[in-house]
Amino acid sequence: MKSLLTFSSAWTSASFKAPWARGLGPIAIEYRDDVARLAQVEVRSGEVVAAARVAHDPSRPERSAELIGRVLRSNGFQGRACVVGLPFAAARAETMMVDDDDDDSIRAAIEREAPQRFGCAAPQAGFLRLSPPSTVAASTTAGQSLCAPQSGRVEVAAIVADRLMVEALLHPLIDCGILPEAAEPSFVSAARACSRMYRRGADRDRVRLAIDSSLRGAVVMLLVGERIAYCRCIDEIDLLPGAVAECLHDGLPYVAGCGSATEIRLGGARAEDAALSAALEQACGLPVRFDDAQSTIGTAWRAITARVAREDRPWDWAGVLGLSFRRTTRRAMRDASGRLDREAA
Amino acid sequence: MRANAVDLLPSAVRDRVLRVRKLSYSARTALGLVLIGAIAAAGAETARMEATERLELAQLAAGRTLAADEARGVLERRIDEESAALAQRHSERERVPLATLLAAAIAPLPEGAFLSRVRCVERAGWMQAEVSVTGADAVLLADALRSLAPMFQITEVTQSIVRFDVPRDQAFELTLVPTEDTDAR
Repeated sequence: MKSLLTFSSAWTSASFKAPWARGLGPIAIEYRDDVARLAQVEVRSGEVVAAARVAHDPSRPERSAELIGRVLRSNGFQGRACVVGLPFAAARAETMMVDDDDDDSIRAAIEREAPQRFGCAAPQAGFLRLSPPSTVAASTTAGQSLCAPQSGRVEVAAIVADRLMVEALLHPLIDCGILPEAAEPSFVSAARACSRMYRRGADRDRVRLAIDSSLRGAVVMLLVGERIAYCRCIDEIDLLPGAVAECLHDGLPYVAGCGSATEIRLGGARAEDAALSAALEQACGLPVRFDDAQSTIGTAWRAITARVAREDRPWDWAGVLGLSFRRTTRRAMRDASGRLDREAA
Repeated sequence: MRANAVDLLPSAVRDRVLRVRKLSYSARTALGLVLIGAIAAAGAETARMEATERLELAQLAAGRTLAADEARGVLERRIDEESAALAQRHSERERVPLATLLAAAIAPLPEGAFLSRVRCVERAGWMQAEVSVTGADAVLLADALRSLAPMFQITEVTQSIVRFDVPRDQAFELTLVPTEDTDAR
């Protein structure tokens, strides 16, 4: 009865706000380590209109959802739709060679192999195509590729989440009247935030090495422009510099034709670790930069500091901001139909 | 190529969200229809009551004005008849239109006085009335109302306006004092 009342009150308060929420994106909720961060931005201007953080106990997602429901009502968030950033422990990424087929078939193939490769009994799979076929062909012709394409096969970064863990996070949110529209791993959101200052023309072929670190591990990514060209999960945080250097080497074929990485973008829980930065610079021979107010967050940081506790640092918010800039399915469909209309005209 | 679009939302969660959305849409539609129905019904009832009251009061005011000018005898007879009828029923508790009550209330007022404006506002559980009188002091009308209907709560009396509250359940169910008292005053 209590949960029904909680749900109905959350539903009522959120429903009556919905008509005013037209210009706003969905609420971004990112679970990272022991904190859940929330942000909502105005879609066109990218201005942060609401931000909050609550404690998150991974063993008690219901409590986190209850706290989130409470801050949503009192911090100026609007609407009920949300996108969720999954914590490091919930999603794994690994490169795989699969049959070049439609997206659903590739996803099914990954889920079939997940129990052996990821040790996940109930997989929920997604993937990123690592290299467009044309790039692979060009780089193969140039004799630089290590990922030699086979006929009818394509290399993808398979991303597998534990479905039970994801459902345990999301069902309590629905109980509180919050409706998840999408769920993505936090490192994908962090990559999107890294690309926020990306210049579509001038930076199209710029390669960066981005590291999204958490207390339990890190994900290393090679970004070409705004695209993730290669990624790998690293569980041993102490061995990060060596593993990153290895990733840099292994990822080179995936950025063939675009040059080599020019900088390391370090974000997340270990971003303030000076020793780690020094070790990374030494191991990779690249300068380390942070997700700071100048390079990633921009003016959004001012809006966030006005709303949340000061102990947070800019790089703590890169992931949730990247999540809030995620294009919704509805917006993507509208853009696609607009493009088709323009093409037809 | 725009990339980095990964969605790991489980189908069970997606289905549940769709169900909740459908449910909330249906609930909102039903709530909207109920509200529209309630507003329409309340509006129709208020309009019906207002129209009835306005018609009766207009007839009353016009009659009084007419009486002051030309047909005083006719109106006096009418008021006498109404007063007699009220006197006959003074011990009964039955529904008496407010217009009838006001007709009785203006009877003791000086000749030529008439109700220039009557405004009733429905509130929850009670009704707020405002009566403007022309040609006589409103204090006289207030006294007449107090005598006829003691349960009316007269909230304000100015030179030309009497404002009073009528409990909703007693608005048309008044115990009227005998006509002799009114006549005596």
